[in-house]
Amino acid sequence: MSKQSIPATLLVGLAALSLVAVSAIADEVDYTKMTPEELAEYLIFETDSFRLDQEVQEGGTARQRMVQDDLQKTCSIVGGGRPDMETLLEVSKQARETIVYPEDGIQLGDWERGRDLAWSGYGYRVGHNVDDHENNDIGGNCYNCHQIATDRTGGTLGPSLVGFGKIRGTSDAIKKYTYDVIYNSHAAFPCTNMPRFGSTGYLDEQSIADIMAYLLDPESPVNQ
Amino acid sequence: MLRTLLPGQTVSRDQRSTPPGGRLQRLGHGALIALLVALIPLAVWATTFEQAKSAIDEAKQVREEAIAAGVSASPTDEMIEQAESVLPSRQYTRARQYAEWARRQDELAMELLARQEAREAAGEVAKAEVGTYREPLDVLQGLIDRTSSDYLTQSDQNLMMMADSPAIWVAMDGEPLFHEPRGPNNVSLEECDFGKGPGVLEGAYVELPRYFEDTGKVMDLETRLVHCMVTLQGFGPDDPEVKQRHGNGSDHMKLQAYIASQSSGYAWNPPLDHPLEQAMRDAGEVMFFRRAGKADFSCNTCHGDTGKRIRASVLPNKNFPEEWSKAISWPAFRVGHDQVRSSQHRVRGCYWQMRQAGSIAGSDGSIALLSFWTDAARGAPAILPDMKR
Ligand code: HEC
Repeated sequence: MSKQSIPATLLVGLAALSLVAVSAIADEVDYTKMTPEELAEYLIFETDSFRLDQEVQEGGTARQRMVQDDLQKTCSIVGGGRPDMETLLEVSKQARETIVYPEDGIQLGDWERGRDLAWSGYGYRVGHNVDDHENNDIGGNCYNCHQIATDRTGGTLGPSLVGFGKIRGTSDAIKKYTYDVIYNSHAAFPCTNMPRFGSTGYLDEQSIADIMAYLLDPESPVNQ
Repeated sequence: MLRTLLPGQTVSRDQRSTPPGGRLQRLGHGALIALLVALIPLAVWATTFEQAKSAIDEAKQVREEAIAAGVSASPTDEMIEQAESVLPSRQYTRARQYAEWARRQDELAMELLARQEAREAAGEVAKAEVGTYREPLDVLQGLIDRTSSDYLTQSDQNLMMMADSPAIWVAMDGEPLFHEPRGPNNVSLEECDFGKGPGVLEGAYVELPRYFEDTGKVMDLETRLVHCMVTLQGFGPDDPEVKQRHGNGSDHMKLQAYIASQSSGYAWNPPLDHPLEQAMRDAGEVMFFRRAGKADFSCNTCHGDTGKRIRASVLPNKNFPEEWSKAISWPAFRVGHDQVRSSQHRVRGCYWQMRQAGSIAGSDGSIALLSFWTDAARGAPAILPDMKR
């Protein structure tokens, strides 16, 4: 159909309609009028860019995974780096307040299970390939970032943990320190890259006890 | 016309053979020479015939050199003629001054020409460095030669296998798919504009994502390809040609690998002239540093330092363009998957790994992130298709 065959009035009408439509959309979402932060939030939550409605393992939907909590917000610095000292101290203080200790005190569990968990990256992945928590243990991902024992290659994003218990011993103070760092490491290292395994409910009490045993038990390969 | 009236000489090679024609041009030279003649002081008598003659000979010799060097027709010929014409009337000083002026003009012109040629040569070198096709393995080797990056060198095996990467075959399969008329409309993708004009692929991919006038959107390669398959070729969004995005056998991977491979060796250079391009890139930067999800990760957690490892894998640093160029060189054959993978596939994998919500291909969020990650590699040459672990 050639353009000439369309009645002029229809064209005018269409043009008017599309103008209205375009300006309505433009009014609503002119990306260039937003700050980069506003646009990032808008893109994440309002543009079908993520599968926000997918159910997640901890209950609820993936939307809540994308919403930043205070700590995530404070520790996200565009361009890299860390917030100022005052902010870091506040992060550390608030992190300390999140730490909950087991009713019967901090225990070392089964280092063998702890080893399996430390070397497992399973858990909490969603999207195109959802981790099945019903039939699999949730791993701690420790090996991704830490060299832990000498028998396998770990990452270097975090410090080496080789000989962790051998060097430090298993005093109550060391057990508490280790527990705190796993539970919410921002207490000791505000805005660290390390996930908060306890305060976010990532690992349960038993898994934390087992991973602690892997690090501290004199029998564990970590300390050979 | 304006140019011929200007004093001095043109130094363009292609004007060398232009005859000194046109009344205006003559008029211009005549006026210029008259002016110069008037300006030359007449009060010096000390010049001998021999001095004047040798100045003229020198000027003629330089004139020949200049012509040989490619300096085009210029008033120096006429100046030399003038010098010779005043010899019989014993105006030796004037003759010498004409001749010296002519010689200096030619020397200056030759110098300018030499400089221009040097600039062009440097441009060619720069172009060879970033702006012409090079085999992916050569590009990678070049990057390795000029950095000492553990990320780039981490897999000897991949370096050895790269020349026979299955991605190269997948890209070859894409060539006929691109050029054949296809789809309900029976049109080829040669009609599709990837930013440098319909069907122009050389260097097109390294300038994506970019803003497209016809959609009013910033689009990455995959999204643009979908757009053309649907609007030009008439495929439906649910036809397998459009919908199937992953795997060596998919049209998408073949086409993306083919299109991208036409940019191998070109420097990443995503445009940021349009306000939307800048807005998307800046939002992508915020997303890159935005910690969220079950494990508090941002992309920067793992890609902000050099030489860090996740398990045995050395991580690329987005602050280091030579490393980051390889990191974002997709499509690439992923040895561990035994498949050619796309940028969008990588983005999805990263969000999955971060325990955040699944990223959706073609979404503005994914394109914003791609805008930032491409900008971060700006200037470094692309390795297309690449091979990764
Ligand atoms: C927990 C660490 C981690 C986070 C967080 C992370 N990545 Fe990665 N990324 C990796 C690893 C490890 C690889 C290497 C590929 C592999 O072995 O799986 C990789 C690979 C890549 C590559 C390709 C380089 C290659 O050699 O394969 C790109 C590009 C990339 N990531 C971008 C991102 C972006 C963008 C984000 C945020 C959306 C992100 N990554 C978040 C760990 C991470």
